[in-house]
Amino acid sequence: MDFLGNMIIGFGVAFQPTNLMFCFLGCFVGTLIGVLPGIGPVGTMAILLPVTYGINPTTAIIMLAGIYYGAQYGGSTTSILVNIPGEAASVITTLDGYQMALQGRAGPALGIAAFGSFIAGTIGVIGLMLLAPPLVSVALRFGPPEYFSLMILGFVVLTYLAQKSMAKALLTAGVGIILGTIGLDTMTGMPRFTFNVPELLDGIGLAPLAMGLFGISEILLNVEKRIKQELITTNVRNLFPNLEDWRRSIWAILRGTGAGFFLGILPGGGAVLSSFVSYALEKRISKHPEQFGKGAIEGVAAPESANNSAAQGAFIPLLTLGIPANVVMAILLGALMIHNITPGPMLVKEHPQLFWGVITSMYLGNIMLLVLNLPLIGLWVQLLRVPYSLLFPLILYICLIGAYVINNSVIDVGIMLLFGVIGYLMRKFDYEPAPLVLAYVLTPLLENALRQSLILSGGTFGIFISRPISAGCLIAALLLLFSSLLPFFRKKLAKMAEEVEEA
Amino acid sequence: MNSIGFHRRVLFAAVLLMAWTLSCPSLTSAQAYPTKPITIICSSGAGATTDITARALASGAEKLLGVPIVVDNKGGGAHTVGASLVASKKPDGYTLGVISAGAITVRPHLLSIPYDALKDFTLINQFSRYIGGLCVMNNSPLKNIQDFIAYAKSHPGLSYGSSGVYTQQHLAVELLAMCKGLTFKHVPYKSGAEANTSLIGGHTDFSAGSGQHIIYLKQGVFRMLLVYNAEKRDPRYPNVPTLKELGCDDAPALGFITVGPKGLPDDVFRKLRDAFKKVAASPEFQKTLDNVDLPYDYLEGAELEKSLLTQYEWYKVFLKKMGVKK
Repeated sequence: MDFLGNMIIGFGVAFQPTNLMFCFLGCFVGTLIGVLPGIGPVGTMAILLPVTYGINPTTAIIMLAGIYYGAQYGGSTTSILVNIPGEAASVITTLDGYQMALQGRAGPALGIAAFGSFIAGTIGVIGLMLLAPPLVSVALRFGPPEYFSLMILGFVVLTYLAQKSMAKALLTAGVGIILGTIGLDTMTGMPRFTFNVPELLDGIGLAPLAMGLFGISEILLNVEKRIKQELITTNVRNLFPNLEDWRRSIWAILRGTGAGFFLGILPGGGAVLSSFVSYALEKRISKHPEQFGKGAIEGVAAPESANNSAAQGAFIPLLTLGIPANVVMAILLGALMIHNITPGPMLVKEHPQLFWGVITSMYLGNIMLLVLNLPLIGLWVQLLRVPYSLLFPLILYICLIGAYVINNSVIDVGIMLLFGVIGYLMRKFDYEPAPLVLAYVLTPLLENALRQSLILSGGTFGIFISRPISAGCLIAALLLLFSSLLPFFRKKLAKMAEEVEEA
Repeated sequence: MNSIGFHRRVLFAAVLLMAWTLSCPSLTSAQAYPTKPITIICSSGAGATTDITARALASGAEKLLGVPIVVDNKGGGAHTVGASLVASKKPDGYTLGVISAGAITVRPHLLSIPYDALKDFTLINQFSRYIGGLCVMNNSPLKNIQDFIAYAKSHPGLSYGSSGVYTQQHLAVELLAMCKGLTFKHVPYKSGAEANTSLIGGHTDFSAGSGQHIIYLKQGVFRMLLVYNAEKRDPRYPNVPTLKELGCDDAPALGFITVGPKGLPDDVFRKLRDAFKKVAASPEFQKTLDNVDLPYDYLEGAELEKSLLTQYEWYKVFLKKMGVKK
């Protein structure tokens, strides 16, 4: 394989002035919408898709891709500074990032998020170049049973996310599962829980659900609080994490990169799942898990790295197989199809300029993003210095538009507002929204995979243990489940003791 | 205060101006249609085949009609969301739809829909349709449909993926099974692309292609053994027989159609039909169809109506036979 030759082709394309400009534009817009809560890359890319009809396909993909991975950088900023995830993949960053900001360590938190993102993005791009061809065969071996077992592993990981009460997390996950079954049943074509509303035939949209539970509810919670904006904007000058921070973060970054890249490749995985998984992983293997949720820098470094490498990893199934791993990739697939380019096994051969050009542009994009996010962090912070009396209506406004533009549907707006209120009540009563959203995302995949597997096996469950990848996932899930029991009870005991002491 | 008062006055003036502008078309309705931008509701999301063709159609018709045409994506509900929106609009020619005929001829038998499929639309024209194909991997020892049928007879329960249950390609494969006495395991996926990938990954034995398979035929990954949802052979693959040639019944192909709400005025209807017809036949549009591997298949007027009615009745009868209860 002529690696150097490919790099030369790629950089030749990426360094063309037009492409450089559109790469920057994509990264800039990505950071902006990443910073702004409520509007995510999916909505933005959907809005900008018609704009790309008139430009060269390589340029179009370079820009759209820039929005996607740029949003992964920008998403952390609001998570850390205002406890509102700018983007779904940065939800988990709020847990420790905001705590760090409250402790006056917003600077290092932002710094480690940007450096972690850069390291992960860079490794992700190199990984994409080296691993794309061999990984195709691995991804292809994931049939329905493998998906099913992987999702089971996902559900087990989900229980790890429980911050306060495992029972409450399981309860909200249960609600997520029920919500996930709304819409047309893929196996029988029959509508479930749609109450004759045609818009519900495709299920509840992830974007309105997440925007409501995370965005609107956050605004509602903040409105009733006394404004304490000064807390978050102090101390953002000192962006460079100290040596101790680095010592604690570097392995978290590398592990997050690895986990994110792998989960990004898997269809349905992507940036959101990988950020959750890597956070859970760090918490699990940490020597001081009790610090998580209270401002542990690893809790920022790992998921922020993971969501970036996942963003790169997600390109692998698209560019090599033509399978969009997530909604963002589905939009890119559409952008390619408009230009008569069919992503698939032949793409690298037929359109080397596009394949290597887009990949190398991501490398340049990561450098641009580091510049955009570190020296210019002040600019983005300024955006957040806008008084809450202006910011909240603005966020609400963007959420409303964001929810509407995805399908041009008023019903989506209603769904978002409804879940805004539900999310508000959930948080009031100490129920976390994250397990609900994750269960909601995993359920349709899990159900389809289960039923497809059983059709293939003629109803025998043995198919899940007779196939090695599937069996491996199930064993890993079991091991995780048992290993969690001990610390889980220990934590409970400790918590009870704490409560007794407090009383 | 002063500035607020000023802003209010400006706002008031702006609202008045807007109201006046909006009322203009009704004042000048004596003028020839169209006098303002037309919206085409597309029943799929951006980037899907329906969307790509709708946009190509819109950009061509824009030049002929002299007004901007906006494509508004209202995907969801297996094309029924977009269709019901079109049905609910005023028949003034300013809101039209590009939808899959399935929203009219198939979905009413499967779902409760808020429109009357046969009465609520003015059918303008059809410009293309889906063609399905039964595919195996290119390295398969099964060289033709006879090989396949013989193999399936001796190996009952071969599995296949399709883009969903009760889709035209699912029904076509089931018709093949009934006709030749075969049994298959149907594994419904969410899209044709996923069904194709499951074949590439070796998880299913063959794929009931719905258009997406053409890509893999071009790349030499798949081999197509049978064409269905088709009256005659696909000119691009003249050696592949059709389901009807095997002496079996076939599920009718679903077209891409342009529609308006019912009661479109005659002059408006004629203007739109002629414009879309001209665009559909243009080399630019033909190229777009070719890009997304769709055949050009034009229908209008009584012919289109008959085709849709036949489809409607066929799916009604056959879906009942398959045991579907709405």
